[in-house]
Amino acid sequence: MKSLLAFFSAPTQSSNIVQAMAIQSHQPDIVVQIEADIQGQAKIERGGPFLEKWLEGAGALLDLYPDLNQPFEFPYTPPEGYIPDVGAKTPELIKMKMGDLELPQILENIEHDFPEHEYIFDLLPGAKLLKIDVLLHDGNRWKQTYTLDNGGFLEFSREGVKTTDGELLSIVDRSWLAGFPIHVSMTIDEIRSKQEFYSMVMDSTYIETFTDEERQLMNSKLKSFTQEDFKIRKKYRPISIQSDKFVERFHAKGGQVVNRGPEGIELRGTNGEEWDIEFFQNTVPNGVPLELMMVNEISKAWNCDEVFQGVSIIQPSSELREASFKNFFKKHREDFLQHPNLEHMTRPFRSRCEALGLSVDTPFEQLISLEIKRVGECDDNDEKLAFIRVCEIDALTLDSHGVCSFDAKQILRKINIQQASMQRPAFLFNPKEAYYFVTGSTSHDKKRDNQAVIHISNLHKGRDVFQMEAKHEWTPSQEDLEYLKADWIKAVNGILEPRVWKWNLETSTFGDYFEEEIGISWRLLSKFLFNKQIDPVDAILENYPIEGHQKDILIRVSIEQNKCIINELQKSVDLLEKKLKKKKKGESRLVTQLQKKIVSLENKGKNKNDNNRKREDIGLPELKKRLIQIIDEEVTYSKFNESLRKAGFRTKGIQAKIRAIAKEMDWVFETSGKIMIRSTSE
Amino acid sequence: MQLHIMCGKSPFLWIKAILSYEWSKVRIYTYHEIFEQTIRICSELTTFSDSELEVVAIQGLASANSMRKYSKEFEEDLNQFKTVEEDVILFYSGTVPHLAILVSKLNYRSLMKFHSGTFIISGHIEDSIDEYGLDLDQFFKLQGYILAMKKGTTSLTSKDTGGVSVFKSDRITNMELSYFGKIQIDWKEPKTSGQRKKTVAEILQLIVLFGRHSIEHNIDDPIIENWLKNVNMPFETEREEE
Repeated sequence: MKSLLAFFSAPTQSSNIVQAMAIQSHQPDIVVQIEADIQGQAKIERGGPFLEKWLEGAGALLDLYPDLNQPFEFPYTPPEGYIPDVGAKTPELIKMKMGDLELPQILENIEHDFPEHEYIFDLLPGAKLLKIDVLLHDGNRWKQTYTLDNGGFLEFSREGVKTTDGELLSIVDRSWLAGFPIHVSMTIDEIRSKQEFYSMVMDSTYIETFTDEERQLMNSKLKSFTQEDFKIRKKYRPISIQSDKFVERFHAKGGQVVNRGPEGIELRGTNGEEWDIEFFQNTVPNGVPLELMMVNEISKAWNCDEVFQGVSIIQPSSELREASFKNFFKKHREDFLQHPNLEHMTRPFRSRCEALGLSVDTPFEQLISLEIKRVGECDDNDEKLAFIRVCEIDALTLDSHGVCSFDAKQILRKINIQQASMQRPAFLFNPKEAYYFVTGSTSHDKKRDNQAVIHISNLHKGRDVFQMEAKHEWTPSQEDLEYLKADWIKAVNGILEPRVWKWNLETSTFGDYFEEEIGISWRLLSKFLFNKQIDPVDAILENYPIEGHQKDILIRVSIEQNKCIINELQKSVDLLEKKLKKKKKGESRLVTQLQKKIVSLENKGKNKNDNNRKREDIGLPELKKRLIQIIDEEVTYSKFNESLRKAGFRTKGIQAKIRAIAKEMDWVFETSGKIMIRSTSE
Repeated sequence: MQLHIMCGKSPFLWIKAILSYEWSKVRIYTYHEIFEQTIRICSELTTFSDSELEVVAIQGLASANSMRKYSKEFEEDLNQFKTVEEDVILFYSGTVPHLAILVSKLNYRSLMKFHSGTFIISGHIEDSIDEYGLDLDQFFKLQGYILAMKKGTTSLTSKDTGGVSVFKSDRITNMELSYFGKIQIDWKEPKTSGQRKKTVAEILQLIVLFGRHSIEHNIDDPIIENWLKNVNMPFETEREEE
């Protein structure tokens, strides 16, 4: 029996998409579009018989875009058009105006005009008010269905909901059907062909610690950074391909680093795959490596029907493309003129003028027309698309949940997630909330909207990631944990080296020190290495084979730290007191708290000193007894002192006491050398 | 008559539906994401209405659940209920699959929709009910906020924050409730990019408070208009780093 599919046709931007989805999924012989105005919905002005042409095929749909070579030739990904079942024909499309007729009357007319068909009414998303009569319609001859995003449909009946599989409508076709040309850089098949390689790169990534070069770069920016900014910068670090440890791990996995410099890296996989990566694009860290690793993880575990990487939704008409191109160029020129001393602000305009072989003073209109010509003739797809697109989306996926967007951000530092989520073409997304940000940092800032944030290390869980409480936090692999442990031990060794320790305002606590040395927040490091939240000093005492003299160093460094904290607090107190004096409002709660804290820290420091004070002075008979035991033995002065301290004696002034006994007994006493006490002088 | 409602993210119409008639009983289907909001509104509603309110928690369409799986689960949720009586009316809110499943599973024979100030009931019961004249103050109060518009400044305070303002703007020229159950806000035309950014920030604040679907923004600025329609990017692409 032939089938007939009917639905309401609403004058909205996304209605072509949902109608095409239903047609592709049901594969009917006849399609009846019931045209209706919808209360409260604004009609779209830009239109065209997109659905009709899509049914005819890709070529016919593209004919609705006659100016695709304007203002210059640019790359686009063509639609597929309607794909009928093998041996089936394209359905006949019939338009019907609702007018004053009630729905039951319309359905009866359809049955009359097309007898002996299987009748399907697809409810489609949106435009609910029209569908009330469909839901209440008793006619048993009509199936009520709802087309699903990734093909197939739900069928509703008294017996329950039945699901039928069907063909899906590609994301690419959806964009063209809504009136927007689209370009995708990579498809799921292309991504999967390099899956092993991208996985190897991803598994080798490791923490990029803060460098002096980065500090210099920060200092060259318009914004002035505070000490707190630097502190934050040191612990929210990228897990990337730039560290030495990445190279070490990549080699260990069988990969080759063909070339490596401050500007980029060239990688070769075990099957000869090659990847030439630039670290920066106009002084801005290049986000593409993270983007490709993210897409690779999604394509492995998210069970998607479609995955596209590097999607550009392009302005729909030649006029809009040209206007967009001009706006960007104008913005670059303004940046150049307003910030002549900032390289990242001046470079885009300057380099475009250089590429044209023209001076930066060339009249703007002349520059624009020559630049349009130059970009049209260049071979770089990204350059052609960069200034004529509505938006660029790192990855788009289609699965049983609909279309989702993924934006890769190494570190989510200043992006406004809510705002960014609105900078996507709404016609593609149902539900509208289907956007995610994928981060690749060691420590995601908890203040950020965590709902939409997923850490790249958790993507392998597929949609189960949404069950994770901390889906936005790094989950290190076993290998990562071993590296973190080694980094921590190295950092502890650094503390215990006998040297003059200097805390400063940027590194004023043990927590700051470890965060800076390793590049991760102490909270997460503590969780990863010790499975609990622990004070950094306690962590050393519990987990590091600390020796006696090292304990002294640790105590000394701790006291220095406390002094530094007290100084800082004192400064805050002084500042507050000044303000308070000005306001004459007496002592604030904060001052009291700070003073309490000072007292508590002073007590803490005192306690540590008390530990020393609790040791007893050694009496001469006891000391003599101990010295007799080591005469001519290989016991150094420092070892002997250590043994005294271990036994609970103070060592202050001990040299004088030993000298006195040695004189009395006619021994030789040496503070250096292997034997501290010799019976006779030679 | 009894009223059954499937809650959507915008509460305006279902609040009106409850207040517009003395229903013998009201059943409200709600889900996890808006459960607290529903309970808060229901508790406020008791001061306006004598109808018995029953709140039923059902599955929400969460990120981990596809429409296919969700529909099955929703259908199973409904197994706890008997087919509804003839005097029960289902108010037309929620998504299309929600309604289709409710109607087919529990055999609702009367549906109610809102059209130009009137609730129209069709199906087994044919009737129309005039809307309850809910004003802006009452609407915000039902959601736990107090609205103040003084000397060109619009502010919202929340009971939860002990009277501290949760929103403040001097860029709003008018605010009213539309026929379609949305808050309509007229904004001043931004003269500079700074004013535009400020307006956008305030719109985002309102979206966080009331969701995307509850408010219609009118602004004479093509850049923000396009941004609101999600078809344009008015702001410079965020850089990966500062």
